[in-house]
Amino acid sequence: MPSDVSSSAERRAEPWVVRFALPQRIEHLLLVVSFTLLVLTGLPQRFAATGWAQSMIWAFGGIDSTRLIHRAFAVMFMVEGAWHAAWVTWLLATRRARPSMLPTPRDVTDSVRQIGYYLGIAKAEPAYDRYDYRQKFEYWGVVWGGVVMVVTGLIMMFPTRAAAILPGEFIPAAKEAHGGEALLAFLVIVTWHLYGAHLNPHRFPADTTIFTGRITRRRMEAEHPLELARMVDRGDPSARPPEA
Amino acid sequence: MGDACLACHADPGLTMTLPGGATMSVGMDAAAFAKSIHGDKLTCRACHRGIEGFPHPPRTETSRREYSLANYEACKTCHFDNYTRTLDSMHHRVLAEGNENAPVCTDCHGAHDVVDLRGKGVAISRTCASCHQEVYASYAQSVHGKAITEGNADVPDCTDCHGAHQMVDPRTRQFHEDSPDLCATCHTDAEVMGRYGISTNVLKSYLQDFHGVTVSFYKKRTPEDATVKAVCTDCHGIHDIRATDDPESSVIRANLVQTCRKCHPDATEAFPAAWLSHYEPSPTRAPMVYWVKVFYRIFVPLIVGGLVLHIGLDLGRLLVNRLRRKRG
Repeated sequence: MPSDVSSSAERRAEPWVVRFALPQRIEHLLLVVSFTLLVLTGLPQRFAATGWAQSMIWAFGGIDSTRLIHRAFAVMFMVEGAWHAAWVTWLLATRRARPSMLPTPRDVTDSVRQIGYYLGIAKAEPAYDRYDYRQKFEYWGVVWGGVVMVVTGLIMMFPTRAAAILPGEFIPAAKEAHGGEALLAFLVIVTWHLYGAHLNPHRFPADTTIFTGRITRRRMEAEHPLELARMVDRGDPSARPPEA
Repeated sequence: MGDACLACHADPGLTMTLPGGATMSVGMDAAAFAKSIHGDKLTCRACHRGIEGFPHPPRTETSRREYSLANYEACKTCHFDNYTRTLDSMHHRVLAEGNENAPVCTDCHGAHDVVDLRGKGVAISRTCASCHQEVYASYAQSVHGKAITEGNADVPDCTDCHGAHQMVDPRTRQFHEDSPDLCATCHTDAEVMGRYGISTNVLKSYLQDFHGVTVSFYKKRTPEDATVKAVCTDCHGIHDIRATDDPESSVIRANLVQTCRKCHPDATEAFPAAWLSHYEPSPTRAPMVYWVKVFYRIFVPLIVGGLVLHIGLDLGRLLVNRLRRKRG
């Protein structure tokens, strides 16, 4: 991460690199909308005995409509997830993209070096590729959490059908896991993601890259130098070095 | 009491003819009245008003029932509180709709032989049985009804659940949604339940599960199109409620799936295990639920704690770098 924070006017004048394509930006938006509504309608259900949760449930029109809204956005989340899986599979199968999110041994050494840098042991931060280990951790957290939420959510949505193929105890166990995983997801988003993407002093008040698709060349050099080099190599027009 | 009245009315065979030709008995058992709760308090004329002198003024009622309905309000002179309660009751509503068989004060309490019914559960329940035979027969076979006939004072008689004077229609959604609190009156009482080894956790565990969460919202406002979500009585039975180890219990393992199917018609044999029978998950009881719970209780703070630590390290390094730069 760059340790100097430049003014917004300076930043606007800087050269840009295209980091995210439109479909990726739309996917992130769908995820933001569905996740937010799922949390707003879901957490009050987990803590339904408390006053704040009950106020929220009444604000959504009562318990039945809260559940209906929750399920509607769950469908949105599932469709988004299925689309993502299909799209990524197609990109990888047709060699249109590298598996840049796959964890590699280098992520382990990177994390050790990064923490070493924090502790003053390593002199510099590691040079990262398209995604650093923190971003990969979060991506796979969403994938793992999403699978847990979808499976346990479907069990609760269709309890008699679930009990036709699974022992009945899976239903209360699914409820427990759904609540635990939801709390984890919520806490990770409000701490790790909001800090990492928006609230940390390097990015404050917000990193707009995932919304606009653009990142400054300077940030790319600092945060993802290996990816920038790769883009230059393959002749990506947006990654062309600026005229001196 | 009115000895003058008894000069004639002590004859148990005394009758009079009402307009229209019906005969009404007007003799009374003076000994029974003397033993009644009013025996040393009231004279005949306290209740039988407008009968001054002899011959008595002519009556306009054409039947014994009409006479009762025309005169029972004499009770409210003293018992105004309970009288007003009855005005909100199901019985009064039926009476107001024109059903002459709906009970008034004297139908339950008697006229001359009124006794104090407080604490006399069997007598109360049998009073209700004089009209509600079928419900009473079912109740008499239940865990509550059997115990009450054995003299047990812990179990409910009819009025403990329905109220005595202000009994409301128990077939409404509101009564249904409020009923868990009714059962909980006794079933969360540790002293009473302790005598029978029954858990007092039943309400809490119910309220934590799907049915209980929904019903506690419906209690405040039930959506018009809402389907019925189970309360205590939907699984355990109402008047015919059995002990949970009774082979005829609707919630004993062998019968439970049938009970679930009342609302979940496609429930399989595995389905009832979804309900933890009011037990808290433990390593022996619902172990899968217990271990999932334990896993997240450790996993969530571990992950979030680790991430917050990482954030702290990032902020710490930033601070150190800035301080160093300032110092040049």
